[in-house]
Order: sequence, then structure tokens, then C-alpha cells
Amino acid sequence: MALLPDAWLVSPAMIVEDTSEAAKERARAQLGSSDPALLAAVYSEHGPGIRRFLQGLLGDRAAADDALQETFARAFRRMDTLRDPARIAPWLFGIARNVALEARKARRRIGRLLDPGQSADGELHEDHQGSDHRTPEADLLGREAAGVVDRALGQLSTDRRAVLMLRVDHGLSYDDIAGLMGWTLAKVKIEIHRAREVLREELCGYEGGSR
Amino acid sequence: MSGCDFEAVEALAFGELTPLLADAVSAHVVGCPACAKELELLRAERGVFVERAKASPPLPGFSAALARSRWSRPEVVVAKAAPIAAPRRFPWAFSAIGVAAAAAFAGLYLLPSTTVALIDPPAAAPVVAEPATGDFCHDESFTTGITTPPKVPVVCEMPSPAADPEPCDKGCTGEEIDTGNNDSRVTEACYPPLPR
Repeated sequence: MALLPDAWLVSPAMIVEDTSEAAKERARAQLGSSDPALLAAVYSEHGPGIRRFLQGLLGDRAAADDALQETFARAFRRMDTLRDPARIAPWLFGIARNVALEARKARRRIGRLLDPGQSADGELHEDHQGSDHRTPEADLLGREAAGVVDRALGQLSTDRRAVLMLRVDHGLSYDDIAGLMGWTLAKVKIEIHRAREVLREELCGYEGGSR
Repeated sequence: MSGCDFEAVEALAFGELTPLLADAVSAHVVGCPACAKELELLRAERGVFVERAKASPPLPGFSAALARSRWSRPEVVVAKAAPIAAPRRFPWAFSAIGVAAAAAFAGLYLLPSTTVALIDPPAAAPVVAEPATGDFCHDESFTTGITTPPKVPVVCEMPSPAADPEPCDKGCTGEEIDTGNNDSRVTEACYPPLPR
């Protein structure tokens, strides 16, 4: 663990910032209207996380982008069915998961047994591009982090992959994940624990970019 | 170590604890190597996902999602038109079949006088009625020796058992046949005259 870059070790305060009340208030205020400006705000706030989630499930950037648009198209159509605006994130992830499952099923139907971004050993090779304003070092670090995550995700089943991302990447609570997946709380904890074991194995195997 | 609550440590890492609880768990983590290691792992897990998120490409345009939602919004359900029924060739056929079925049902189950024998009764012995006066005479044994007797007998009067035998008055030949048992009362059999 000592060999992990300091940038990968985030403080709890950083996590709290992602799930702040301010963000929830903003989401709450944006709902209940079909005003394109408000929908655009919802999209810009939740879109990146939803896209990462979809890319983790589908393993293909183009498919993830298509699924992202479908997810938000469905969400905008059904915005009036959202009962609790504070829970818009689990609601969106639930729609995204359904869209991803349908996309995988459709892909299987047309005969592609392997994901385009997945090699024969089941490893995901996602398309991670660095932002233009990032330094080359940060860009390299991000790509290596993405490699670690993708290697771990590639060893997991779709459901286990989904719950790991929902918990660790998106910070959803166990209760929210249980409701989203339709599982019991105990099953959610077990699945996340097993997925974490794989992820930690990859993290412990990482030796300063030698992999 | 045995009393460590890793779920609390995880809640601390994810900022899910109240300030009071967070302080308590933090104080424990400082003095507990296992919990400190767990917290470090949790931070590393989270951090690696954060770095991965930073390396993600920019989000595609919002307009495409909005357009897609609007294109597929009008979900007009068009009611299916009722199929046009072809004219019946025999409009009375169903009525007739129904009436026949009803009649059969009534005949089989409702009429009390009608019984349905599921098993055929044993055949009764044939009853031979004794010939009476005015019956046709059929018995070939009463032929009178005429080689080709006509097959259509005429009605004969049988003599009374008490009276003497009399010749037939119906135009028969009137011949009597002696059967040999001295009982002439049962020996007559008349036939129409032979065609000439």
C-alpha cells in the first residue's frame, strides 16, 4: 500500500463534498419541470457518474454514450414519476442499470458474444482520455488508476461490478443499492465485500506502475 | 481488534457518520492498526476511482438526450380497427345446430318416459302367436300338393273347433287335406284359384 501514489488516497472530506446537501438541494430544485435548462443541469450534474457507471458495465465507450443518452431520455420522460427528488441519483442509476442490461442483451442477440472492449481473458480495455488541461503526470496517473480499476472490474460479474461501482465510485448507501438492485441488505454487503477483495488484490498488486 | 467495526470505519470514510460518531470512530482508528489499515484501503479504493473519473473523456452533448426524449415522447396508441366480418353463407346453420343439440339434450335427459339403455337387454324368446280367424295362412306345411302355389295367401276363415269342417267360400279350390291325425279342423289351407 505504501507504493500507491498519494493522489489516490482521498480524504473523507473529499468524499463528503461529493454527496453534500448543496448538491441534493440543487437536484431537488431542478426537478418537477421539463424546462430544458433544468434538465441540462441534471444532465451535467449526474451525467459523468452515470456514464462511468455505464462504461463500467458495458465496457465500451460508444455503447456507454449511447446508453447514457437513452438513460436520460427515459429519465426526462418519466421525471414526474420520481417521488423523492432527493433520491434522484439512485433513481437515475436504476434506469441506467436497466438500459445497460438491455444493451447487453441486444448485443448478445445480434451475435457478439464478447464485448468489443473486452479481450479473451475478460479484461476490460476502456477508452480513457485525459483532459486537455491536465498535466502529463496526472494523465498518466489517471490512466494507471483506470487500468487497476478496469482489471478488477473485468474479473467481476455484471451485478458485482455494478454494486462495487455504486458504492465506491458513486457513494450510494447500502440501502439505496439494495433498493436499486432489488436485493436484501445482507446480499448487498456480501457482494460488495467480495468485489472489494478483488479490487484490493489488484491494488496491492500494483507496484508503482509496473503492471 | 475483535471489537472493531469495519462498517463504522467505512461509514467514516464515506462521510456517512454524524460529527459526534465520526469523532468517536476517528479516535478509535488512531489507536487501532487494523482499523487504520482498513481506512487506508478504503481511501485507496475511493481514490483510484476518483483518478479514473478524472481521466474520463468529456460528456457528450445534452441536446442528443433531450432530442431523443422528445422524439419518443408521443406514444400514441392507435386502437386496432375491428375486423370486418365476412358474410355468412349459411346464417341459419348455427341456429339449426343449436336447436338440434337442445332437442337431443331434452330427449336424452329431460323426458322422463325415455330411458337410455346402456346395456342391451337379453333377447327374449320369440313369441309365436296362434293364428286366429282372418289371419293369413303362411305355413308351407299346409300346401295342398299344388306345385307352384302363389305366394300371396288369401284370408281364410278358420273353422270353429266345434263345427264340422266346411269348404272354403272364398273361391278356393276347397280341397281338404288330411293331415293323418284325424283332426280335420286344423288342416285347411286355402289358396286362390290357379290362374288359367
